[in-house]
Amino acid sequence: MEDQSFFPKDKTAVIVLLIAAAFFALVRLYPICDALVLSLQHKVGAQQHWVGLENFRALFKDSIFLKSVWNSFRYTAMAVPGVVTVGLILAMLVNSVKNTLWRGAFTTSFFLAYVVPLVAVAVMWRYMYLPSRMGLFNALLGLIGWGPIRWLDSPKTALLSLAIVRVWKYSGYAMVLFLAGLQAIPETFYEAAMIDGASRWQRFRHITLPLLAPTTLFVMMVSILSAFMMFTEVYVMTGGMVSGADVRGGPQYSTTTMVFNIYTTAFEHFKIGYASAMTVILLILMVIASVIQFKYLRPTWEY
Amino acid sequence: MKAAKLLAERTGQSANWARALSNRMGIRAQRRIERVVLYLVLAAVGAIFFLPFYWVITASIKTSAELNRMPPTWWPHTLTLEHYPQALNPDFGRYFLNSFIYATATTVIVAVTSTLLGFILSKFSSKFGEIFFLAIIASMAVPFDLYVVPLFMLLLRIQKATTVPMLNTYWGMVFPWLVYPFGTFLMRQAMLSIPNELLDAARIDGASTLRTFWQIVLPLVRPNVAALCIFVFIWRYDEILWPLVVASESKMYPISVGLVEYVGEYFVEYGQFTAASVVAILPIFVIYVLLQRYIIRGIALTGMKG
Repeated sequence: MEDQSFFPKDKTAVIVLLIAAAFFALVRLYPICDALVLSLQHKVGAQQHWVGLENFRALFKDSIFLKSVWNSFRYTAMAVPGVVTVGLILAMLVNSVKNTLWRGAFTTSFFLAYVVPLVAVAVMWRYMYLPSRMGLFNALLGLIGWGPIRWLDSPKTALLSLAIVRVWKYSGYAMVLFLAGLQAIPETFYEAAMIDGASRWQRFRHITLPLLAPTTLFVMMVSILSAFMMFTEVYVMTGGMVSGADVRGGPQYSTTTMVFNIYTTAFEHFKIGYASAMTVILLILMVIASVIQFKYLRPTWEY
Repeated sequence: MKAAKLLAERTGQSANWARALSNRMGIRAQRRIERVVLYLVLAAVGAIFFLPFYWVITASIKTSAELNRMPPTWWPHTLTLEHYPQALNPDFGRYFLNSFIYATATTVIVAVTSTLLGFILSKFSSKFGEIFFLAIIASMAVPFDLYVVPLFMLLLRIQKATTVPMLNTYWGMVFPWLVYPFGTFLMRQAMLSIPNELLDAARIDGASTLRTFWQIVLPLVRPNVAALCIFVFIWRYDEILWPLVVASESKMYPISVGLVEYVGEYFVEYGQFTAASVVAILPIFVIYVLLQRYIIRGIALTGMKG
């Protein structure tokens, strides 16, 4: 349309657009601008004054903040490869089931963990991670004479324990996306390869993997963004343990992620300005991630 | 080969025929073995996936004495439902109610604003609409958790300026979902494929814009709206960070926050808090069993993730 007007001609449409735009400005645009403004202020409780970039300067010297950034990256690096790999394996397994009834049953079962509320999942896993032999995992390890591992109670294993929960919960989600991707690959490709005598591995390596690349990238991107924003698991699974009176995000800040740090800074220490500065940094990271996704990670070819 | 020879002798057919047949049977047997292995592997993986559920559900029906035994029992020796009445105290009823109010109200609001706005954005072209749509797409790149601090400040300001209470209210919790960028995006994409001729025909017949929307457009995208509603409900039911910030009084806690508080209080009482988490999962489990087809198809088509 060349002669497109600024507003639609329909009156109802104009009214809907204006009301929606006002709401959108209020709940999405204004808060972001406000975060930028607040990040330049010292705001603790009723005190409030401009400090310029002081918050950001302080952030780069704040060892807990730096640790939280490191933890978010570490957690993402531990969880995402697991989610993608297990999801792909599940999808390959389920996809080789030809009986539709069984196939549906397996899909439904593996997907269940994704639908179940994360808070309840975290509670369940906290119980299974009990540091004594009473916990499921330590009881299982006990059967082969290993352990007990102190899972959530040790700064060495705590973050990894949280990453394992994510692999369990989200690989079903990855599986469903991979299944859709697998079903889009024409059967004739495999038939042709089989006539040429390609082995199972070669078929996987040279047909499935490359043709699944767009799906894989999508699954990876979504998983990275969601893992990087991890909060619930830390909030539910750490702190107030029976053994040590450790605080949430511990032990020794080993599970303090960026979002969790923002939450405690803003709503437990009431440093709104400082928390806003953290929010801005996380926002910048997110924008960089979406630019990368938009520019480089889009499939450039189709089949 | 021995089998082929035997087969040729017994049936009196040619040796070639027997060899071909037995080869084919060999492949068939191999396929059958492969299938058995596949099902065994799937069953094993399935068992691993179900283990957490098994463990928590059985824990919730073990007696307290059995729960404190070390090493733990692999199946409950004495069944008891004693933990459930304790877990289902009146406080929990209130948490459930809050969760349902929050999730349902948000779902209704998101459904209304997303479909209506999606309709206008897809079928009424204008510069303003295009700019607006770009802003919506851009805002989808910002995860909701990042809005929590400034949105909290916004609620405080509104509360101060208008003296209408916002914190510790349902309205305050639902407030950020007045416009849901992702839902708007999904609905717009779904409505793009509706032919304009259909809408023109309705207009010529004298139908108003809203009536066209209600009677022609909405019925055509019903599956998409259903998927959106299911997901918004499930996600908001599960949400913890935003309700945690808005609700400081325990009578406003949704089940997610209530469950964590409950677990913090009774962490040593394994029976009670496993029973509580089973109860918290139940509504979503029922929804999943009833609507699993829409849910899985919705994920596969759109890659939705909260």
